[in-house]
Amino acid sequence: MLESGLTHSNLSEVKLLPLSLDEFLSQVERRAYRTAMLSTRKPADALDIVQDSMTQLVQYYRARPAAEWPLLFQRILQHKIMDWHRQQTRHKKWFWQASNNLDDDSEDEINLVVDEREQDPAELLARASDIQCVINALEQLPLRQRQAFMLRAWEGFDVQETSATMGCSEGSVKTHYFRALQALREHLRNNA
Amino acid sequence: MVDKISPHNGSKADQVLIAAVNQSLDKGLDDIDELNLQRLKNARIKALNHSPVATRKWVPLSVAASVAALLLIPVMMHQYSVDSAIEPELEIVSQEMPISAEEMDDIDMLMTLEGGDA
Repeated sequence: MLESGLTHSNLSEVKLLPLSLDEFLSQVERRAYRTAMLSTRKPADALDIVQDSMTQLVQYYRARPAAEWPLLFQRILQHKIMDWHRQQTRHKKWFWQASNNLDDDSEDEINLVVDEREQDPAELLARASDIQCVINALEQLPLRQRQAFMLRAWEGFDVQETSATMGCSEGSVKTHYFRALQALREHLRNNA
Repeated sequence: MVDKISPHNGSKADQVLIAAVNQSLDKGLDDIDELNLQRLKNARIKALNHSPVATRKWVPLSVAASVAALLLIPVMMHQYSVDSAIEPELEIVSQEMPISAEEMDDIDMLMTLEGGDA
């Protein structure tokens, strides 16, 4: 079957393959599910988000060239995840609960300070190889930082594509990505 | 694994971190259970069954309104014909019967008597 024939390539790799829409979706569905799961932590909601994203791609962008699908799909997926977070925030406000920070855009200077301490790459590697530890670290990132990291590092998007997908400036993408790396490094160091 | 590092201009530590996280996430894809994989497949099939929005035929509102008006005409005509058939009967029913000469005499006599009493 296709799933076994082609591994679950990231979107930058999928762009290079001449695929039908069915093949494209089967290539990206697991990664999309994982991305949605990191944000929602609820399998049912993650599945809903992935299905809605697929449906919207089929309905509106089926006729577009296959090379455009990865970016379009990722943009739809990220918007669906944002919508889900907004819905959750509204729900929490309605019930007088504290809302989570959706967007860590506060320009706190302390976040821009680079940790100059040398780190042992082998040690970091060992810690980051623990799947659950990595997932926990990613789940604890603010939404925008997680989006920037997942798109840049995992999906292989460049800054321009990431900014188009996230709907923010390239400078913001760089900031979110930088902070995500810092937070991940910190988390993995503290939770080894 | 390190050769899969995406083209970021970070430090070596960052590159190692990114590669390791990517590897963990890739491994995590295989941990998705069969039930959710089946659900994903069903979601994909369901999504593919949707017709593209662009190919849907939208009926212009003015045309739809015209057709609706044309369809209503026979109904209204039928209603009008029923109403016009009923009206004469109502008129006949509501019409008073003509008073005969004898009745007129009786009425005159009664009025005269009432006038005399007063």
